[in-house]
Amino acid sequence: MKRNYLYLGLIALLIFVLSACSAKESSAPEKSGGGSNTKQETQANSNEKHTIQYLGKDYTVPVKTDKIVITGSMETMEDALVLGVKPLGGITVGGKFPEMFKDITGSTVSIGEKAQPNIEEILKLKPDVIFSTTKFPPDVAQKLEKIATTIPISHISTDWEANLRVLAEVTGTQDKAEEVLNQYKKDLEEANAKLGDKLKDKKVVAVRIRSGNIMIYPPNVFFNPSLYTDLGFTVPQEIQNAKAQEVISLEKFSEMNPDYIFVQFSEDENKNNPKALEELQNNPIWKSINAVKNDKVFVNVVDPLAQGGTAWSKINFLKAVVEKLGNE
Amino acid sequence: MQLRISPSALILWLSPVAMVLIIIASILYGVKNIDEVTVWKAIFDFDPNDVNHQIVRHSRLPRVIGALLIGAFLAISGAIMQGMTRNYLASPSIMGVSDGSVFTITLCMIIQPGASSLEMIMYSLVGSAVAVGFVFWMASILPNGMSPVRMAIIGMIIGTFLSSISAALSSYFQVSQNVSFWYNARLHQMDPNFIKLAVPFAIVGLTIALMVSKSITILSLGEEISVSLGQKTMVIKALAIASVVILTGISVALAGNIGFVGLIIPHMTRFLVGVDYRRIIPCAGVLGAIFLALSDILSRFLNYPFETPIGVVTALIGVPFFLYLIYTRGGGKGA
Repeated sequence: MKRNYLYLGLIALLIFVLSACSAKESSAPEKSGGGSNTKQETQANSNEKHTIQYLGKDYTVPVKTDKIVITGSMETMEDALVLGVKPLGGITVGGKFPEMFKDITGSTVSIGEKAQPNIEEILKLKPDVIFSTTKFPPDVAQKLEKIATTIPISHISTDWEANLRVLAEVTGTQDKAEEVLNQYKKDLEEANAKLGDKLKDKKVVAVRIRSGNIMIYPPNVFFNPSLYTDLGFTVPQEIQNAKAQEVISLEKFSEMNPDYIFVQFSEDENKNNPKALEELQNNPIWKSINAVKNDKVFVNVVDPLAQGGTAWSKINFLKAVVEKLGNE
Repeated sequence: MQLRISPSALILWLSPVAMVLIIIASILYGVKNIDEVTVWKAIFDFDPNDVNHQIVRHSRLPRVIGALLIGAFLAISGAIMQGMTRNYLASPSIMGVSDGSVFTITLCMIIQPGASSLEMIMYSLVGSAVAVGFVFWMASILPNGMSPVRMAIIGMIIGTFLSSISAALSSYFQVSQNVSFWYNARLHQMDPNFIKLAVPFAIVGLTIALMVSKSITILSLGEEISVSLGQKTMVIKALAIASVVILTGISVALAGNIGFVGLIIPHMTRFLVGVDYRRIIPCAGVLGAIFLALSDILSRFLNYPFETPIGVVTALIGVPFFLYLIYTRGGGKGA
């Protein structure tokens, strides 16, 4: 009988410990959630804050701050380059900042690679606002939100103006942003006037070459909005059919038979002399394409790291297109 | 006995006809419509200025020959591995061949991003050879490491180790997409030069495979039995593994990772022709070739006009057929 009591006592203790543990676990996130809320409120009292809108969602951010971190969104890195914004923390490629961002990354700290944000490093920098990407999985997004207001930036090319504006609003560079956008519109008008209608029925494509595969993209991705929406070239059927990045065989590509090809190699080093291109140039099927016959293949007209659907990419791509096709 | 011989004889006698038919089908049906006359002319009256002739000669013909060769290579190495390790789940990649290749290709894409395809193929071969060499070295210094099962375990461990390092490197340097494309869908990039490169490997690898096929049957009865039957198991194992490495290495280098062929075809062959590796090895080769070439034709039309990775197609066809075989004939002699 005594033993039984002992067992009962032990079991009761065990249950108590277990329930205490689980109670702690379930209450923990609430507590910390509550904590960060009150923290934000007190901050809101001390700093001036306002609410901005981005793609239909409201975000509360400081009126003007330089303390931003960019993670996951190469698009925002490009926008920062256009606006001359120097982020506290930014994305590195292979451990270092790519050459094209050298103007803004002089004092920037690496917070990891594109898909691998280093949460601790971001926490250390104490940013006011984090620019992340819509591509992040929910658990990463939640972690970032605990550090600071996080704005997930869209990777869809057609959101480029909103992407640029939201960064400008946070960093107080609205004037610069509007100037850039107006300049682009002006450049675009000039370009359309210069190119005129004589190229309208020509086939123009932008492709990326990855490990010898020719990749094409849907009309609203990559440089395609620049070509087909802004400059009004006819969308080839194959581009129209693409649902995402697609591998197209050389055979099919030769049947498409584009008149002008903009080739982007994703390798950023060795970009002037990729051997994969040499191989293509020796391939008799590639040689039979109109653009190749007429020497109208343009390689890496903008930095191959450029995302395509950003202010920086669009401005520079437009320049390149006008330069290459202007005298046709 | 009569019943057992005939399926294999049937397979071997019918295979040339089937292969010719597949080659014709593969050349005729591609993403671009090319009529029969043009194909005929492309082969017998070649005009370098005609795009269609170029496509037939430089894209479709190498593609189907590549598919046939690689299908045969993978199926044969799979059959050897399964017989030798007496493990029906063994596949050619078990010795770290593909992981070694992935490792060197990843390194190459980081250090020398502009490498030509031929250089990449060489790197891939070197990687495979080094990984297998490492597996052998480990096996030789560990107690009883040369036993087939233990060797397979060592191969798996080293393979997993190498592939995790490659995964870390490729995601850090952001080449993972390029690496995965290199391994996914490359049959459509087959070049006549690559085929020429594969020929010497094919001759050596296939010769060894056929030479050891009889001994593998004995080996598949178990180590003790084969030793007591007077077989030099070490020599046989070394030769068999050499042929697996040669055949798999060149396949991975030429077309990337193509799953299921090396695993499923040997099984199917065993179901059809019995357990004698003298029949299994050539029949598996023939069936593998036909299977992969057919899958390749399908891969052009699944997501027309874009290419579907061949591995997806082999899995789509292979798995249901495999399940069907298990369902109808399972529990018996095969697996």
